[in-house]
Parts: sequence; structure tokens; C-alpha cells
Amino acid sequence: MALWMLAVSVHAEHDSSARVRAFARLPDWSGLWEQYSSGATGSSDNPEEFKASMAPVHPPYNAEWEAKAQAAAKQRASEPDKVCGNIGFPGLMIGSALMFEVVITPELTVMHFDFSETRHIYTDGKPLPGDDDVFPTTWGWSAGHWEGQTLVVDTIGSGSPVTAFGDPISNQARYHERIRMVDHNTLEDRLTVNDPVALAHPWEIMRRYHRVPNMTRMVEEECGGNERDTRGNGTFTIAPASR
Amino acid sequence: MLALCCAPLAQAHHSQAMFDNGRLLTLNGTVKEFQFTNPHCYIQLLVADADGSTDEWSVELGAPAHLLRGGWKVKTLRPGDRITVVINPLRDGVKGGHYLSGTWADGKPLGPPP
Repeated sequence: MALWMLAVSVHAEHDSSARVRAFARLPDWSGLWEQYSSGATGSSDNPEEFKASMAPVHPPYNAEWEAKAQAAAKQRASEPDKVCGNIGFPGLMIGSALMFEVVITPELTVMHFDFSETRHIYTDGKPLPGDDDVFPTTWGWSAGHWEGQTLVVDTIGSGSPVTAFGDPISNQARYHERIRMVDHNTLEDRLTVNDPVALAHPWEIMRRYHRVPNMTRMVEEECGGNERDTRGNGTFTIAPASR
Repeated sequence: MLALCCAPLAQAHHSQAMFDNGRLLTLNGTVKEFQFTNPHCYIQLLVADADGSTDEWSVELGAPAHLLRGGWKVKTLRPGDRITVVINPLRDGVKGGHYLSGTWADGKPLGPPP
């Protein structure tokens, strides 16, 4: 290729008007979003809203994994040890008290949740990594594309429980999402979970997220700072306030 | 079928097992300190005992992000405020528990200004 043709080609890729047009085609999902309202308890303060926003909540397990899930639930009920950890994907989308912000560029959509949990959804055309390049991570590996104003996402390789309650799923699960803005105050995620190892059939879930009231800035949660949950008396307790 | 019992705490990080979710305790007291901190906010509450002495209770709330979403502010509670709170107490008997609800002395709910 002649040098001048290469120069024109490079210039075209960085053409600011083309870049502006690429951004202009994208939706505006700016703001803070939540699945259900939260408050001083650290969780849902509205049982009816919580119940409506979370249905269905139980994965359609096959018999073997239903038994695993029941055993895991029993263990969690008596286990005081789990303090401060991530929720991960798909729990963040299926049922979580965390709020999030969405930053959209033509190449990448970032969903940032207030416990420093972040999803990276690449929309630059690169495919999902192959089996030899995937290991289970908390948020999995995502690739997406835009169909108009709807973000279509495929995710593999999540090592997290399928719900924020801690229900198990195999790390062979594959997730397909269609995320869109229903109206100015509502985002929607239609998620299908395919896991022939754990599920009797694909699990289809629809979740909606609403704008967070009372706040205009992201405020992070974190494990550090004033962590007073501590082991004592053979179990977990609250340490005295520091003087 | 697993029961849809409890909303997952933001933290997922936080097991509820340290609190007795089957018991409710009501505390009337005076705020000694309101800690607006991660990962939990705390109300240090001075509660008069039956024998006239005063005990200090540690009432654990959600993280600041959750209180802010619910309309609370950094200085919603100040030392000297008289309040009533309902908690699930700690299982180990230490004077503390998980906040469920609260009211001012006049009965109005704690949280966002009216």
C-alpha cells in the first residue's frame, strides 16, 4: 500500500466527526440505578417491592443440583464467617442491593457497582475468548453488540454463585442478555442462563432497574474503614467502638 | 424450593448468622455517637438499665451508600438525640444488634427529613 493511502486510512480512523457519530448512535444511560430501594438496614426497606423485583428467584435446578443448593443454603444459614466479599455476575444483575452506573463508549460498556464491582462488556467486535484462554472469574468474560439501542451481551466463565443469596451454578454456564432503556427512569435486562450441568432447562429472568432517589454521585461501599464485625466468643460479633 | 426470605444485604459479604433474626429487641436511648462509615454505619446508643446504670449498645446499620439512598445524611443523628430503635440482637449476648427501624422521641421515623 502506498504511504499516502496508509496515512489517509489512519487519519480516517481518528476522524473526530466519525467518532462523534459513533457516540451519537449510543443511548444515554447515565445516572445511578438500583433494582430495589435500600436504606438504613443495608438492604430492602420495602418487602413488597423487594418481592416483586426479585421474582423468580429460584433457579430451575436438576435434581442433583437442587440437592447441592439446599445443602449450600443450610450451611449459609449457620455460617457466621462470611464477611465482606463480592457478589459477582450474574448475581449483580439478578438480585442485588448495589446501585450502579453505566458508561458507554463505542468499544466498551462499563457497568460499575458501588462495591467496586465492575463489568466490562466489549463491543469492539472481539469475540469471547476460547476455552484455552478462559478461567473462572467473579464477573466472567463478556462480549456484546448493539442492536439499535439494545445492548446484547454474551458472558461465559463466571465463577460466582448465580444469585446474590449464594445459590450455586456450574462455571460452564453461558449467559445471554438484552439490556435496554424502557423509559427515562427504567432499565431492563432480559437474561437467559444456559447451564446443562446444573439446570433442568434454560432460566429466563427479566429484571428492571430504577433511578436512585436522593443521590447524584456514586458513593462506594468498601470492606475497609471501620470494620467492627469481628470473631469473638466463638462466633462473629461487633467489636466495641474505638475510643 | 428455597424460601424467598430475606433481601440479600448489599454486601453479600455479610452473613446474617451473627444476629438472632427470630428476636426483636426495642431500645430506648440517647445517641452517644453516629458513625457514618464503611462498611457499616453504627449508632452508639446509651440505654438505661433497670438498676439505673447505663449500657452502651452498638447498633449496626447498612453502609453509607444505603443510608444515603434512603434519605439519611451524614449528620442525621447527633450526640444527645433521644431515639428508639428496633434491632435483631447479637446471638452471643454482646450488647449490639442489626438495625431494623427507628423513631425519634416524637414517634416520627428516623431517616429522611419530613
